[in-house]
Amino acid sequence: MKPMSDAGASPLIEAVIRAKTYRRPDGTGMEAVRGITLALRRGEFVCLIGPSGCGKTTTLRILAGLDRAFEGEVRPDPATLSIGVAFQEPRLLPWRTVEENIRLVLPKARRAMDLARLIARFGLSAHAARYPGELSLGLARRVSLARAMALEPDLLVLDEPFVSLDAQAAADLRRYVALAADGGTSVLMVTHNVREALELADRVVMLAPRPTHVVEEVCLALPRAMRDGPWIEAERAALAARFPLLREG
Amino acid sequence: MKLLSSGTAARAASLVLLLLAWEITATLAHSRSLPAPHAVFAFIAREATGGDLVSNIAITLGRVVVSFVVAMALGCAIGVALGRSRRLDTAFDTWVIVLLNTPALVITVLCYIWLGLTEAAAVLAVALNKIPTVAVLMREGTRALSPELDEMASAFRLSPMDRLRHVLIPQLQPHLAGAARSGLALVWKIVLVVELLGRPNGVGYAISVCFQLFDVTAVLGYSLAFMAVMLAIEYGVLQPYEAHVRRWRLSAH
Repeated sequence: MKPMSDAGASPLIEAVIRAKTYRRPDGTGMEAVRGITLALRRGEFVCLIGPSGCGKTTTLRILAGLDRAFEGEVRPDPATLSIGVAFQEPRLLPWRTVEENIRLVLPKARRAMDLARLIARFGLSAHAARYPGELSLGLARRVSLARAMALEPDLLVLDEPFVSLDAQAAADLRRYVALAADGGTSVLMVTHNVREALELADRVVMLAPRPTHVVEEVCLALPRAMRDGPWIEAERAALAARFPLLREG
Repeated sequence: MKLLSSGTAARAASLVLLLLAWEITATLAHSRSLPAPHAVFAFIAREATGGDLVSNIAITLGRVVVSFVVAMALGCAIGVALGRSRRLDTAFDTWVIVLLNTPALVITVLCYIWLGLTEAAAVLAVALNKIPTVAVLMREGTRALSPELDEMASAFRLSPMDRLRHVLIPQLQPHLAGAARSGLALVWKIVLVVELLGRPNGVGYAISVCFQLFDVTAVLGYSLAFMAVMLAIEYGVLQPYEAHVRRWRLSAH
């Protein structure tokens, strides 16, 4: 494990967030982010870890181009990239079937494509014609992830995508996300699960409590395929020794 | 299926009971003011074959359809605009409340005075009576639109047409169906008043003539015949439409 300071090739996307302040109903301001610089290379897997409510989701939304009311800039404009997003809640259209929900986000030219393989890979074949209201939260999360990945995007933005999945399903889906990253998709993922971050990420970005900023970036040089349980445990213990907040994770 | 058929049987039995009570009361009262149902149905059959019943119903139905479509279109547009823009809502909320509380009779009389006793005045009067109700229902529907789904649509860059078809309209459909059902019931009642006051044909006009002749059988006959047409639209068109737009909710249970 070593501190990250890799300039590398030109990044796929780079955000400089000097400040992000939310306006409360009573008119006062609540500063969520103060000074984050984050760059993702093509095919890089970055995990954001930080305490609850520290501004991780805000950072994701800014990077995905969903929040433009902040001080700073994102280069290039997120609108010029293909971005697949899996939100913290699945956000499926309740009046469209599972398959329709996935198909709808595809570009017009790919709308008619056969989705059977993708749907099967996410274990959704038996549910393709069902409406989201009939699914458990875990299944709905799978659909949300399948929708984001169906796009084959330049950048996958994932906000705690494996929460409330059973262990086997979560492991399967982690493998698919890792495969996407190996195939050249950049991934930015928020998670509370330190083991998960250590299993998947090329780089872990530790965030401070609100107003959040980057505390440290940790590069994980060992290839994903070679990371086993003992290695993950050793890395987690080393991280927890430096960041007491992670001891529970 | 069993539940459906037992429900239908209960409704039919209730209707037969009502007709029976009416028949007995009319026989006991033995008065011109309360004709028996068999006399009313005989009038309907006679007028349907040799009288103006069918043409009058067709004319009234035409007015109902035109004013209903105008009221729904304008009411939806106004309601969605007010629901989306706080500024527009602040500016025009009072207008909606004033129109909502103006008696149907006043609007009708004013339309006839300002536009003359014309077809356009009649349709406008009915539409103006209905527009504020639709606008208020659609405004509430628009306010309840999910910002999360809106953000999802932005994240996946859905085209404006896809947003409209798959995100916005499905959210508004239950409100639209509610507005349509309550709207139809209101519109046909107001159309009869508007015809009574200023048109030379239609069910409302026919009822006013029957009233002047104190022909209660004809008044009830026209009312029942037109009511049957509106019930057919309610059960044959509006309720199936509402069931269709809510199918994804029902399947959750």
